[in-house]
Amino acid sequence: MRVTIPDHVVFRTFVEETVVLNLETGTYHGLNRTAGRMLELLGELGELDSVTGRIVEETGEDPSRVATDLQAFCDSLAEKRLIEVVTGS
Amino acid sequence: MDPTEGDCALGLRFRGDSLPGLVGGVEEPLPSVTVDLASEAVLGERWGRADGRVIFSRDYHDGRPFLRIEHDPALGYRVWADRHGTHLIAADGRHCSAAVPDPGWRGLKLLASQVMPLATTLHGREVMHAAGVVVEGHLIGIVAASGTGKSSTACRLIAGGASFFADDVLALEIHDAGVRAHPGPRLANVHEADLAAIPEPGRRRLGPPLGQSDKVHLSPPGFPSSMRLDALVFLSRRARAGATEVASLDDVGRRLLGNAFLSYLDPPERLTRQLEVASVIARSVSLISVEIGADDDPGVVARRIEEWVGQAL
Repeated sequence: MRVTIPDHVVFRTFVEETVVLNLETGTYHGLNRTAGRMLELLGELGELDSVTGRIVEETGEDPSRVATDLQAFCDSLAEKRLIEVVTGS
Repeated sequence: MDPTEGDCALGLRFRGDSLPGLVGGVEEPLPSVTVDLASEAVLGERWGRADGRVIFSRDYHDGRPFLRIEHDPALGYRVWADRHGTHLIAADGRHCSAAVPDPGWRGLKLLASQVMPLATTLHGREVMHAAGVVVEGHLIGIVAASGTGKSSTACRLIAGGASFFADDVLALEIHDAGVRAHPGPRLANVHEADLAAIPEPGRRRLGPPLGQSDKVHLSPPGFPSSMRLDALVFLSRRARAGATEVASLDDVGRRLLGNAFLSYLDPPERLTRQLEVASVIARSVSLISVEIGADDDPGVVARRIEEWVGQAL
């Protein structure tokens, strides 16, 4: 699966959190460090498999657990319209 | 036109008719706002054809209107407050028509708390709800919930030798990988008891009184230049017993964004700028929490901040 971060979403990383701003709704969302890194990699790499691979490299976590967590995270972001799932690729 | 002609506040140079509370002697180039003073009736006629939408309002406890801010995409903004005045601010922030029935503290308070912050925001600055003082050459912003002691702490610092920079609003812009702040107008508001507790000659440093409401309104000397913001102090009351405590912060993003000012201005470019300024502050400004001990007065809090500045900056 591939995702993109739409133009109406901007985010900045702070010391302990990442703040995501939905410009369409004016709503801020706070992410912890791990989730912030996931979002950063989703913006950079797009493909969930690639993002999973990078996180496993960086953290040494179990790949299947990372994949499950990442999928759940993406579902949550997509529900809030903070990412878009690219279909047909 | 002389680029340094006209007195200033919050990073704007006001030309034309005179407004109260402005700071003279500012030599840096700043965007200008032309001012014309008019009667309420004239402003009413000018705004009468507007399709104004109320975007912010506050009422007295008995329900009577106290403050209204309206927006019309073509004409700009109308800021009205009971007995404080009416102002029409152009959509680009370059012109202000002002009816100031009370040129004393009331007129200045509306200018300082709403009109000037709105105008500087329209010029691309970000505004933060914070007092500002210059301690030993360092600009310190003080952020606190209403009633916590922001103004009284700032006044104590000024009485002890710091310079007044802003009472309630800092105008900010990103500059050289840091954040630059512009000084506010010459208005400080402090509770009478807190003012009375400040010994002379320090009290004189706060300037002459302009009047009194629930607070005493003073006219301190204006600060004549913008400054790099060196530190933000987040004041709060301790939930448990103990002395005033200084600590580092771990929820920076939310705290910074939570203290942005003029929340009714929410076009995407402004929200993006808010986030960007908050991000630069988090990287470039020292951020501390000061929890005020139950038995500590503003003098104690001011001394702890002075000690921290001496050690950390």
